[in-house]
Amino acid sequence: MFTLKDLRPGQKACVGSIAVEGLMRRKLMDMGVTPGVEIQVNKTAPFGDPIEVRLRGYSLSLRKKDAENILMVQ
Amino acid sequence: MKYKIALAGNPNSGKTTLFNCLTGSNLYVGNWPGVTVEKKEGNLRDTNKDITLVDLPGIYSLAPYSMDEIVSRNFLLEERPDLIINIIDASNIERNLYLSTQLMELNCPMVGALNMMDVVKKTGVEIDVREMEKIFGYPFIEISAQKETGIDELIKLVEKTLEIKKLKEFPQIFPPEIMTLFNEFDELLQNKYPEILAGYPRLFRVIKLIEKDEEVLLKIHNNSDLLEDIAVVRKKIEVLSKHDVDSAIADYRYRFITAGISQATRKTKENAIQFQEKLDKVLMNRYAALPIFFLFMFVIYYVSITLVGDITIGGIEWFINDVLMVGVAAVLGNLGAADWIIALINDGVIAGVGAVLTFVPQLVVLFIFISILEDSGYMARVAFIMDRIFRHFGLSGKSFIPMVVGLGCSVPGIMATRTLENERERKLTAVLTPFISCGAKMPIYVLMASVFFVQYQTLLVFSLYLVSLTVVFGSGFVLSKTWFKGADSGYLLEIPPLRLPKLRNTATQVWQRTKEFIVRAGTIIFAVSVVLWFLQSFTIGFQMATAPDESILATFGKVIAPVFVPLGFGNWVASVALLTGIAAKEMIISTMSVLSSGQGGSLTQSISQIFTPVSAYSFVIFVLLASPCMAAVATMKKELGNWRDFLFALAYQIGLAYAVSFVVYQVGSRIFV
Ligand SMILES: Nc1nc2c(ncn2[C@@H]2O[C@H](COP(=O)(O)OP(=O)(O)OP(=O)(O)O)[C@@H](O)[C@H]2O)c(=O)[nH]1
Ligand SMILES: [Mg+2]
Repeated sequence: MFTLKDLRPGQKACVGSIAVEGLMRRKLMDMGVTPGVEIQVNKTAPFGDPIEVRLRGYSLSLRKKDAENILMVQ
Repeated sequence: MKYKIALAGNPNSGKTTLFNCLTGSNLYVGNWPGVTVEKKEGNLRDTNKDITLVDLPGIYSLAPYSMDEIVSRNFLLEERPDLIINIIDASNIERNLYLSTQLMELNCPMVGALNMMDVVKKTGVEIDVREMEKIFGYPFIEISAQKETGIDELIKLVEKTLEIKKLKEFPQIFPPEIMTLFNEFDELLQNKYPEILAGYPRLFRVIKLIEKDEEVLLKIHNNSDLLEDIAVVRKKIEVLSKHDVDSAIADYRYRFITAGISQATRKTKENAIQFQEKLDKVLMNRYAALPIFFLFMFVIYYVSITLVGDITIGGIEWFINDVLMVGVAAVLGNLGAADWIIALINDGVIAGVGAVLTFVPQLVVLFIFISILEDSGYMARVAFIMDRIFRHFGLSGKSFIPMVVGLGCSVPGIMATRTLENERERKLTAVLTPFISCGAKMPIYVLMASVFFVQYQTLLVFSLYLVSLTVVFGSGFVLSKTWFKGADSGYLLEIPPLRLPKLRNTATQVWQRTKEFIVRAGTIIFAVSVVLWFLQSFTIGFQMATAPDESILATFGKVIAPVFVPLGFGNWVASVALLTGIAAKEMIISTMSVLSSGQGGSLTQSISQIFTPVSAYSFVIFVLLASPCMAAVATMKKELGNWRDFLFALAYQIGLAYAVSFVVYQVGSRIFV
């Protein structure tokens, strides 16, 4: 089991399930973070957080706190 | 027949650019999500129909998150436009179409505008619009709002679609077994709860109830029977889809889209790594990002203040003092005008208005830089870089965007806080944004620096920006633990691609802002200067004052002045200037200019008499931090909503300014005797 947070810049994997709670969960889905979608991590911010990822042809940034609740599969 | 047409689409998809192009307006355009925060109306040009076009804040979905997004949703739902122009950033088509699948549920005629085709063509993607229409059930057209291509065709398509009376059925996005569930639930609603959300489109109502959308739940007032029925359907969907309801519904939509676009789009060539991506790597480099940001800010102030100032200020002052004033005196003198009229025009109007206009070239350059920051896509990147720091101070990286906008003017800065989802963070950001110095305050610093700190102008001004950043962070830290206490809303931000700022866009924006500044000079500042001149030329007994010290203004100023003694500028001129500065910040300079020319000296001379270097710095800090101008105060009241927070914010801003200036002066005057 690994999460989006475990990916290093340049690596990609597919979303398995999303264990984020509350409004953020629905927002993530609206932004296209749904089960099965492929996500690549682009970079980490200067202070180590947040991270920038690429999915569905665009770039999205989110905090590690949320990334560690997005479970990934190969 | 009057028509109302809404422009709906994702943030940053080019709605406002298209709106400006279709209506001939000059609304605010920028390269980050959340530029437009209010709905704006305009009349469609180049058509013989009577069409009102409405520009809406961008939304990612019809779920309400922030204030500006709620505006869009409510407009689409409650005001029911005759047609929706669904603007889609075709270079980010998959995510953009997600909203389209929700708009399709509103039962409203729709036209899809595939925007940014100029970008798409370069990346070698082809879109088959006929195929798109077949799949999504409404017509599409390729446009570029910025290059103004495809606009006439879009207008024609809109006119044609308005004439079609009968709405075509939109295609089904969900698989048949889910649709059966939806239809059953719809029937149940109609039979059992006919009064609930009666005016809403059917499918929209069904899905929003099943999703337990917050706004919709508020409207059903805890109807426990209905909530139970909802729970039953939710269970069924979960069993069928093997996912929870939220991800199931989002997933079905995205599946429909992915299947659709793989059919309707074709990639003709692989695109090479672009210059933008390389630049992005440098700008966002782990180690370089922060220094680059501060370097940018420093360069902006160095160029606009020192470089431009050195070139322009001398010439303008020479023109005002030695050409204009001398000329006016000579011409009016020849015409036989009374001395007091000449004095009114020279010492009142020209001194007051001229003092402000002297800084126009510097402001223009500052505005150019700000506009480039806004249009390049750097804003969202700074939010990304800063999030980690801002989090420690009770804010999120997104709070930084209103603050950068506030560098130009606090009013749009405070309004930009509407894109923050969390009420606590939004209010806190609205209270902190005025601490970021706006463009109108810059002339004051420059003037003071030119009298006392000639060699260190840029450094002085830059130090003020550091002071304001410190105050923002410090206040954020304290207030988020006291007055604006609560949970944080998290951070999720789209990072738009870097774009080369468009000359025309920059020019319009700079012109708008400069015009506003000049108009203020011609109206408020003109009027107040005249009034000030009278008040300082007459005594309380309405005699011509022999010395300015006896004037009405001086008498009045001396009443307030003691308040500022501990800060080092307890004289009546400074006090009056601070008061008039409430109308507009640049009024502070006008006031000093009118008052000093009344006393027969030059502005710099009288400033060097009134202030010492330390008290000048303390004065400038007070101006920087103490409550913003009237317009910004009114905006703050509007955004905070209630009197309690508003009065607190005002007291906090003024109190803090007083405290910081007090410390600066008391400590400073002991060190530099
Ligand atoms: N290359 C290109 N850029 C465009 C086009 N249309 C808009 N832009 C740019 O896209 C950015 C966003 O444009 P806006 O019109 O502010 O977008 P908006 O949809 O109103 O955004 P919000 O108000 O935040 O919802 C700006 O930098 C525009 O210059 C286009 O057709 N081609
Ligand atoms: Mg807009």
